This record gives sequence, C-alpha cells and structure tokens, in this order.
Amino acid sequence: MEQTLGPTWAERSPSARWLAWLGPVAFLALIVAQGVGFLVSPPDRDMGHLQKIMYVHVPSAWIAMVAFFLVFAASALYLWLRDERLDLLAAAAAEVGVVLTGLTLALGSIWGRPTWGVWWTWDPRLTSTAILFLIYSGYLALRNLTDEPERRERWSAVVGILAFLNVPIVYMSVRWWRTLHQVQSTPSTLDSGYVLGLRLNALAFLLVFVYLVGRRYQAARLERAVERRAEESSFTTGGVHV
Amino acid sequence: MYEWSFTIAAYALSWLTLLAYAFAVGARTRRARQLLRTPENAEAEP
Repeated sequence: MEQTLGPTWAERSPSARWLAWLGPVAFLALIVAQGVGFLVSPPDRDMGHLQKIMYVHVPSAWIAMVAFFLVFAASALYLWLRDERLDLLAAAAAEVGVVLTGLTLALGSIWGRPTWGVWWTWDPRLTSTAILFLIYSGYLALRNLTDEPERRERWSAVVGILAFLNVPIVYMSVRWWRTLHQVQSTPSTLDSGYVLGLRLNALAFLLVFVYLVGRRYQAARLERAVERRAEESSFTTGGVHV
Repeated sequence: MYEWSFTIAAYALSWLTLLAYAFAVGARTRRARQLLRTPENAEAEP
C-alpha cells in the first residue's frame, strides 16, 4: 500500500474545516460579548463593577453543566450502540467540563473574597460544585487505569452516567439549602439591564465549548489510532517472539 | 480600584485558562498527528 505523508484525516475531514473557522469566531464572539457586558450593563447597587464577574462565572458554570449532560448522553448511547466515537466524545466533553468547573470555582472564589469576605466557604453550592469537579476528575483518571479499550469504554460509560446524578443537586442546591450563595442567575431572576450581557456571554461560551470539544475529540481520535497501531504492532512482535 | 482589581483578575484568569487549554489540545493533536505520519503508522489514521 502506498504510504502517504500528505494531509492527515484530521486535516481533510469536513469537521476539521469548520473547526478551523469556529475557533476564531468563538473567541471573537467572546471579546464582543464581554465588551457588551462591560459597556452596556450598569454597576450593581451593592457590588459595583464586581457584578461584571457574573459574565464569566455564570456562563462557565452553565456550559460545564452542558458538558456533563453531553457526557451522560454520549455514555448512555455508547452502552446502547457500542460505538467507540461516542466514548471519545464523552471523554472530550468531560475534560472540557472539568476545565470549566475548575474555572467556575476559581472565579467564584475571586468574586467571593470582596463580596462575602472569604475566598472559600462550605456553602452547599460551592461544596457540591467542588464534589462535581472531583467526580469528573475521577472519571478522567479512571480512563487511564486500563489499557484495554473496550473495558475502559464500558467503565467510563457507567461512571459517566452515574456522575451526572450530582448535576441536578448542584443546580438545585441554592434552592434546597438556602445559605450564602444567591439563587440561580437566569434572565428571570436578573435585573433587565444584565440580561443581554449574560445571554451574549453564554452564547459565546457555548461557541468556545463546541470548538474545544471538537478539537479535543479530534485529538482523541488521532490518539486512539496511535494506540490501535501500537496494539497491533505489539501483538505482531509478541507473536514472533513466542 | 479595589473592585476593578478583582474583576480584571477574573477576566484574565478566564482568558488564560481557555487559551492555555486550547493550546494544550492543539499540542496533543500535533503530537498524535506526528506519530501517525511516521511511514509505518500512516495507514492507521481513522
């Protein structure tokens, strides 16, 4: 067979082409959305300009939940269809979700210090979000525990489904245990002056999320191909020596 | 100024995190692609 050193599958595929333009569009959308948030929204009566942290903290938290829903859906579909691509999609979404949850916790901490007077407190929303971060970090760690792809895919799918149980707990924690963290920031609970900025920033974060998951999925498929090649070559080599 | 320092820190952290992650994923992709491009692996691409 003729060996090619030309463009790889990742460069030739239609998904690679739309990802190439989605990246700049997504980050440009983030600049525009944050610009609107800074210029249009008035300072809050109590928090002043600290309120603008909402435009990164809240979308980051929302999109992390979207990521974990994607892990849940792809994992459930994997158990049904046994398609390796669904496992790789779940893994890609989980990794981006962990990054966004870590960012949400860090941004909440930066916001909490000047408003609550503490960097961290064991509030139910903060604690359940930290647990969410640990659960999905565990999911990613689990994927490295076995080299046998099918077993890894099966275990990950089960954990990907079970881990999602914590997402509604995080979402509802501010209503079930009303403590320090305010209730969910949604267009219905916010002053109208902040709604446009929040919607635009959420949309921009969603675009960045789609871009990052697409890129991570692409990397995962290439890595899986390398792994498969290594398995085949070790099997052949083993056969020769035995 | 006190408010702005926390606000700017939050935005800077967001951008650093997202860009650093995007570059890290790009590096993983390039590395995997490089491994596949070695002549003995070229046919293994998905």
